[in-house]
Amino acid sequence: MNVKNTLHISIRLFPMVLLLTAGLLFPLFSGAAPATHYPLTIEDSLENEITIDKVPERVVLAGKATLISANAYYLFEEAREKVVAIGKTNQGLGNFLSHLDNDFDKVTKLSSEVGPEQIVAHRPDLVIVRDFMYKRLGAPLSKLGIPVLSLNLESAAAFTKDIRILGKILNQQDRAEEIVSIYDERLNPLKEKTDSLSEYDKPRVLMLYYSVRGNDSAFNIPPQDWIQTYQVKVAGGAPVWTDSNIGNGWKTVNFEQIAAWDPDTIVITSFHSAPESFFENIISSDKWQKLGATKQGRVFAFPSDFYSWAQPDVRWILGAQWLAQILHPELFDNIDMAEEVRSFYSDMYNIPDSDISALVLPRLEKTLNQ
Amino acid sequence: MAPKLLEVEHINYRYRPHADPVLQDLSMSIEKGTVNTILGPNGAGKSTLLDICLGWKEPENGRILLNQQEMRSYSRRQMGRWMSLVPQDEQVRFDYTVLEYLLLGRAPYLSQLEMPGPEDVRIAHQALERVGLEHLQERPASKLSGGEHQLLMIARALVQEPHILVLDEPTSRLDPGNRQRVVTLLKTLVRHGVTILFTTHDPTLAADISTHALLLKEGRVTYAGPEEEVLTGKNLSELYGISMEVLRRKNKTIVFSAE
Amino acid sequence: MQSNVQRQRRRLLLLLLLLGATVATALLTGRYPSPGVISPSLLAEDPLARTLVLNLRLPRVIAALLLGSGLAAAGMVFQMIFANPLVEPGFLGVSQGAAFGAAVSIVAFAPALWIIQVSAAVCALIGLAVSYILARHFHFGGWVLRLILAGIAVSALFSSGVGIVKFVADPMSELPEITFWMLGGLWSVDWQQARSILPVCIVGGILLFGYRWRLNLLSMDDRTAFSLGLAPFRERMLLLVAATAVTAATISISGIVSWVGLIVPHIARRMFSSDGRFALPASMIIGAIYVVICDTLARTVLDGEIPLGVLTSLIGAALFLVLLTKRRIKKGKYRGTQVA
Repeated sequence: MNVKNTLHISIRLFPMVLLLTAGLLFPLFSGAAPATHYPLTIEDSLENEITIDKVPERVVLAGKATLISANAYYLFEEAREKVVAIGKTNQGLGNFLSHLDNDFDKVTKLSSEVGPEQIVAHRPDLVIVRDFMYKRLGAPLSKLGIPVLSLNLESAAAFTKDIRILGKILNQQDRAEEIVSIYDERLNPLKEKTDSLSEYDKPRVLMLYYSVRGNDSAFNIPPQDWIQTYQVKVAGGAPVWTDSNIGNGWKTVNFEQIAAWDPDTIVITSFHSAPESFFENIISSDKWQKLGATKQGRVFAFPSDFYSWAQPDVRWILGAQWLAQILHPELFDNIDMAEEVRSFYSDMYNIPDSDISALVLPRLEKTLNQ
Repeated sequence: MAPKLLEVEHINYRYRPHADPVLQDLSMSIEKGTVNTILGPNGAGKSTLLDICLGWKEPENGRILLNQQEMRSYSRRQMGRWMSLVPQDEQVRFDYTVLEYLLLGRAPYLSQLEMPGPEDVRIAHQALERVGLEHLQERPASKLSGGEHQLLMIARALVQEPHILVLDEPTSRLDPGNRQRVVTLLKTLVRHGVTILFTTHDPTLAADISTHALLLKEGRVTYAGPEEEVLTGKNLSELYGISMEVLRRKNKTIVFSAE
Repeated sequence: MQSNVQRQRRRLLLLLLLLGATVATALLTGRYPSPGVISPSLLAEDPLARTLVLNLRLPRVIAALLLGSGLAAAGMVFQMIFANPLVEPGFLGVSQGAAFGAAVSIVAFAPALWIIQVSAAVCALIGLAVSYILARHFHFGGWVLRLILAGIAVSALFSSGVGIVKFVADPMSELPEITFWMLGGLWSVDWQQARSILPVCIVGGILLFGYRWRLNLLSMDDRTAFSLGLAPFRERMLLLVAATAVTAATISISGIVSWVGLIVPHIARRMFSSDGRFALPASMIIGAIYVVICDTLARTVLDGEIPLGVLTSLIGAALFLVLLTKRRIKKGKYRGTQVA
């Protein structure tokens, strides 16, 4: 071999080598997520170790608050057809999933009180529950060797982590990263501006869940480590209730306590009914008329389309955005909530604009124009 | 003289530490084969004395000897084999048959975890025969007439095979017919050599079947000894505070008030 | 009489066989693969079914068995010692005390299972003692009435106690729901829990079984019992403590399950006789059958769980009404015995 030949060969080989190297390095540079290797052992938010033998084909989502897990799960479009049984997903405002997925009505529906045996009857290879349901529903199932994934979703960090775990289990890690980046894109602008706020600039905010049972109605505050608290903080507010509920569930407060807090801004949500049905009645009552926040016109109904935005459902990010421009209109005057809603549904679900206008936006008309 | 089965020596008893004494310096004894009655007006302390003889209550001082040994040295089971009680009123609280109820009397012969066996059943049947209730063995014990009930109680006490049969007012609640049944039974037992101790406020009953009598007034013994000596009009008038007379004919004695 | 004894023994044996059949059926009943009874051959073919039966149903059925026989035996013991056919552990503050003791210990320091049982037993005994002492201090009504009234008061105090502990002192939600405590349920029973109550239940059960004839004597008034050679107070204490310990242990894993201790002894006495010799073992077996059936219904009838206490109360109350209103089968129904 003389030098001239070597050079020729090298010149011919060079593009191939380049391509090969680029091909090998491309994943590193593009940030594309790797494929999952099965069998997979992974730790969930409860620090339970789950072992998945292969891609799940029969998935059951069950237990109380199924809608939260379901809405997160249904972000993974290819995984939707694997659901064989699902708990209650209609909170009272409509069933979003049947609009989203044509086959949804064919999936077996489970009651929210379902017992483990009924779930086993569907022969699942993956069961997804909310973390507080693990002890009662998840543990018996995992004793039978069925993998049980518990989802927490109660903060941005938890949400991100749980989405990534879902992505890994379903072998859709790139989709998971896509979702995470969509959230980051919406969350980071909020944090950038609100992180640098002084305490003085943060309005005192009270978030209330208005619950009605028969003739009894009550106002409830969320626990300090739930997403509602996070939403208020990241939107640049100071939640007034955090010291009062270190527990694990909604806590009823009476009007005196609300008056004692005397918050600057009050947001009220009901998970089961649209704001029209309760909001006017509340703020027009004598008691509420005397509150500082009411007099200042700073009592708002939390928006809800198919679901209230004030829960760990996927729409929590919209709730945070909405809250931010309510609390700091001058900081966030670039946020147009109607646009944010459109882009959210289009980015997340690929729903065409016409459907968003027809199905989603009408439900938000009142609350987005407060 | 027959051996003394039970001896009570100089006992005092009061309900509470500084209350008035119910029984004062009381002594009595029971000989084998005798029928002893404790007579006295209401409130005299008859029941308390009976309870003490049974070992159910403990006197403040004095001694009680059972078969010449301190009563305190006996275990409960041993006491149960020495003395049995026919209570004044006892409700049968569950639906036991007569036979089942009788078998309860075998308790002193069974340890805590033992159950009645064929021998115990045989003894129970014997007792039933003696009191004349054989035909009622499967009847619910709570469905007996007053007289049958009392006979059942006596039968259970007999099942205990005691040395002393103790009865608390055995005929107070019975009509004359049933009273006679009980009296007849007791007389039969006496003929078979059973030692009996009973309380009553019916002097005629005492005179009818007792061999010995003890008159108790306000916690003290007024008279004690063989029945013919103790049960006189004078003594009884003193005891009850009204004029009493005793009429003795051949084998029948009647005591009545002569007011 | 001996033939009567043998006859009753044979009937007890039949009951025992019935219990075995009930347990076997319960293990094969559930909502997998569809609501109803599966055939045993499915167990051979389907490993999931096998695991389900062994790990999910079996510990639960065992717990139901222990719960049923324990509560029924305790009910019988209480009824006889208090000479009152209308009491059960739940009426005298025992069940509620046990629930309170268990709840307090869970919230205080999330302890080992046996500590929870001890705490439950101690509070149950306190409940019993207070009921008894209160009843003695009441000034009106007969003994039966006083005891029940005192028991109602003490039960209410302890029930509220559980509520307070749950709502005030349980921020971390370590306690199961109130419905669990007040209505009972075996849905969370696993092997660990079932095993943990075995010692107490077996020891207590054997003790109570040994004293089954002696119980008759302990229902009599003190003086008569004494004259029969008993030390009534001591023996009653022993049996009450054993019965309470067994009740408390089962309540600590199942919550309060009512009516079993009341109704089953009645049924047992009706079927056999008032003699504790047969009534107590019968009570234990019938109680076990009853609770196993109720628990199987609780987890099979709907796709969710019906609280066990709801079913035992419903069926128990109905049975109670039937028993109370039905006249005695035949007056003077002799059992035609022969002397041994």
